[in-house]
Amino acid sequence: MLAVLSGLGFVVTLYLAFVYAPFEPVLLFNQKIFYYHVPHAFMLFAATATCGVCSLVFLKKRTPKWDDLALASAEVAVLFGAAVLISGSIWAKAAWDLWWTWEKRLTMSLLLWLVLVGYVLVRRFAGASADRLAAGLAVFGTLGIPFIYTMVDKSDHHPQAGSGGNVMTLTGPMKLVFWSCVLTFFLWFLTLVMMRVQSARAERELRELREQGLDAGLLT
Amino acid sequence: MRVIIALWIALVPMVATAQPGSAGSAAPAAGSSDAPQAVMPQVPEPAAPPPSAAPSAADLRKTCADAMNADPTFADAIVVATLRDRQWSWERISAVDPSGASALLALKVNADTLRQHEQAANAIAKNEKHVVLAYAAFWVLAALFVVFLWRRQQGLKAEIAQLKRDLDAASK
Repeated sequence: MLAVLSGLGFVVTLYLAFVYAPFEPVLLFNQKIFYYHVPHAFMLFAATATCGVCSLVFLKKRTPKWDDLALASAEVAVLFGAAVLISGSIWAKAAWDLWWTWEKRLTMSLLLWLVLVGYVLVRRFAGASADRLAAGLAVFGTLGIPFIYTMVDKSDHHPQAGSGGNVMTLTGPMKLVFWSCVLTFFLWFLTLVMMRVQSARAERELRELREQGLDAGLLT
Repeated sequence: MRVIIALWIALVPMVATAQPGSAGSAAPAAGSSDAPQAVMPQVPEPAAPPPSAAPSAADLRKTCADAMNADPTFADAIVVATLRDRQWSWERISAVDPSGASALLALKVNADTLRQHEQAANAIAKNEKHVVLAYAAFWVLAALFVVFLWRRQQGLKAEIAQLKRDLDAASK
């Protein structure tokens, strides 16, 4: 159901972004990247925060379901982070004629993404205590979100949406299109997390079956 | 209060009927038989102006010269457009008028710069390449992630089913 709604949302938002939304006078056609780039960044924050909160609860309660949710959110956050960094880089090339600059928000976003990649690598290669090590890393990464969001100011040259420098001040058709995209990507985020949670549960079930197989002498 | 309401009720229809064009007017349809025919004052048709003689070439030249003298940018545009249309080379201009060649060259440089700026602005305004690249990146990443998840899920399901079968066989 969520996947179907997300699919419909993608069709509608593409129409809204390219047909309904007015032409932005300063950033011109390149501004169309904004409608997918910023919602991806929002979902990066949402996924990272979910991962951090679930990791914190897991560290306290040691319940596997929180760990599954944290792992699923972390992998989805890596996906959204990659999309934000790549689309942002393409936008930078179009607007500033360079692929990358060590501007504050870009640098912090890259660091957050690297922390999330670190989380996934720890989960894969750190052995028996990987879940607890990774949970600590997730909590650390979550603390970076407020800095990234509030980091853009007048001294920065990162594009600022709306008159007040943030998306809350968008008006008219742009506001409608932008928040439609945010809603669509939120549904997409939920879809992906649910898919990944199912996969994490299957992995857990497989581990338990292997232990049974070892006990039964079927596996060596 | 009642007086104000009574006055308002009495005045609104009066005001509305006093304005035939307003939405509240009760004027009958123009095509109906009992519609009063408005009497329009007869306005005489204005007399057609007498045909004037076509301006002579000298008049046109004078008009053009006056306009060029009045507006230097217009004059520059005329000169550059003329040179471009006739495809004159700067060597030829120098041969005809050595003193004016440098001034004309400056005009050409300005016109070329302006044209380049216009082309750059148009390129940015219609820059679809980067937008297409960015949206393609979104979709490719999402598709790769979904395929990766789906394949892993299928693999896990198959492995779980196999292990369950082996465990059931071992328990029997």
